[in-house]
Amino acid sequence: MSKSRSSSIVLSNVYKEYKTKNSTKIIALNHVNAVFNIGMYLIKGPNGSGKSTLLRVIAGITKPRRGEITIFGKKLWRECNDECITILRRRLIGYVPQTLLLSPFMKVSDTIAFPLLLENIEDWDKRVTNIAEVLGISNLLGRKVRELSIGQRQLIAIARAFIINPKIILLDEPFSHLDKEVMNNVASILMSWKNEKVVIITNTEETSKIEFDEVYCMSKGELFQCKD
Amino acid sequence: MRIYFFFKILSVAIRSGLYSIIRASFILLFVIGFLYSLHVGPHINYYYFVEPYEKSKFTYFYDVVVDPSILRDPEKSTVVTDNILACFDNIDYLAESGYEFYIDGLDNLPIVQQDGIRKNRLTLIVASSISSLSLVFPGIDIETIRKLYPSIDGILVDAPDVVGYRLPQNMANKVIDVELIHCCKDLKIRTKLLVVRSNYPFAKGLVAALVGSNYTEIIYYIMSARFIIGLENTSRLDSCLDKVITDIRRKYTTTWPPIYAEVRVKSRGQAYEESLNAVYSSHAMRIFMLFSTLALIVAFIVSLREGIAYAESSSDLIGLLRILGAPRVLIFLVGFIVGSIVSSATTIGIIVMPYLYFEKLIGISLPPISFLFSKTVTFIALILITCPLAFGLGNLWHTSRRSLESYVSTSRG
Repeated sequence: MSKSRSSSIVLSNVYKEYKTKNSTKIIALNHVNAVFNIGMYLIKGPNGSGKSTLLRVIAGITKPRRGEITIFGKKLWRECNDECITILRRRLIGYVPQTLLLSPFMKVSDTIAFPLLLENIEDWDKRVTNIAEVLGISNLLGRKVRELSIGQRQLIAIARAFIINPKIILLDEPFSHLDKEVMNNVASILMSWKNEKVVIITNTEETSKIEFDEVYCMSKGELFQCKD
Repeated sequence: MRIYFFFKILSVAIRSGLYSIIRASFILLFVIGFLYSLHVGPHINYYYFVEPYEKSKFTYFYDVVVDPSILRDPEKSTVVTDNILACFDNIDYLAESGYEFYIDGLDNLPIVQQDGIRKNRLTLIVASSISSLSLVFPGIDIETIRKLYPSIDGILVDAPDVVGYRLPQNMANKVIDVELIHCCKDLKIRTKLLVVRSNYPFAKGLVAALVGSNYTEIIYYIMSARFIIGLENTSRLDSCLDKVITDIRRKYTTTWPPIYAEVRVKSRGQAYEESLNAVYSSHAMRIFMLFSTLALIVAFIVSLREGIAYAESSSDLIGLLRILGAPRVLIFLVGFIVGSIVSSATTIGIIVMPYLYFEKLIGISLPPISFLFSKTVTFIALILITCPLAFGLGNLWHTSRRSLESYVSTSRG
């Protein structure tokens, strides 16, 4: 218990299953136990192994069937209800899903600023300019999302996750459409937060520029430390 | 900044769900507009046939009903109209019930000029509308009629519709003037004489007959049957009209088929009640209710369905709002406002469709839109609230059915 209080993210016996239309059970998370403290984590695994579900569970988007998720000492779903989880997610968690969740009709600057605007933060435009400069997307700010390539959209989603200066960053296959130069830039930004934030990245390929504290593997819903 | 953010979201929401909005707007514009057109039918009748009695300054009304068969027979119709006109010749003026269109006396009847020559007598075909000409002259246009009947001076089409004659005072003379000039080209008839209120074109025949008593000769009455004349004082007319009707009956009841002629004198209250009961009969009200209910059901179903479609098409935005914990009221408000756009289109339909249906398609002049709106304010309010509400509900329903994770997962692994 004392361990969970001091750790950033603790997963205890987390179990999640889905039922298909023909009532077949698919186990997405099979009694997962893990602790994520400040640092860089990579979760590898084949498609359908449960990586995305794990991130969604940590982000409080998916409720596990069994087990406990503790974030900064708060047990999600038990001590922290829906509203509390939403606030936690909005203020502390920068999450980039695979779907990116970008509205094609929204301007890039508004898309990045979205969490700040929801929080009614006044200097949102300055912060948007800063993050855009860091990520090298200043030239995209005035454009609509639908005018961008998939790689550019991925960067916009990353920028949106970074703008709140989150304590936890969850990136679900964030580099799949980025070219190497851009990917390295994002990697170095993440590395600069190595001692400040919990960064969990799912990826099938290791990103050479990032030194991960731990590399986990997932298979059939089970999480374990990779052997090599 | 909250307002800035709200309008940003709103504009994105509108763009995202544009197809649903356009689809719902078009469907509702036409369907609700059409159902509204049917829904307002009794109110249009009220405007033409009931309210004039309510507002009338006249105390008595003559309801002169004559068998139409008489009026299709030029010889008989001449007898009838001449006799009836004789009664009116004895009075100072004739007035339309409820409105102050009148002549100061038959001496002031129109001055008619053709080719610079003053004519005392014109030959006119009287029709209630251009379309009713085809009943007598099927498939023949006005110009052909002119050629077939070279002796006629013109075709008097004295009102643009076949339902009622309640035209605004400033319009009535103008319209008639225009129509006469249109139909009779060079005749330059000034018709500032009379508008007879009646729901049957016999009244129009009477107009022409009045002209004819001094100037015109009626060669055809089309669709004539009945007219109503309002007067302040009945004493001078009673005996004369009674005599006319008696004469008509005596003269024509021996013929086969027997003909019918009657004069009924009604007080203003009676006339009003009779018209009111006719307009808002239980049958009319059933139809009225049917169309209004149907309109509400259609509005609800279409809006609900498109609200669901909207929620699906703007799932990126809604998902983001939900995941980042936007207040529920914001999500509902956005859906409601987007639904209000559909409502606006419905309102346009309510304004435009009756005009297209009645004025353009059927050829009936509509009462002022303000009158129709005042009579159907409850219905309009219900429609206006139903559209955004159902749209918002569809949006909420679909949104609540979707789990948060469905917005961010490509698969379930």
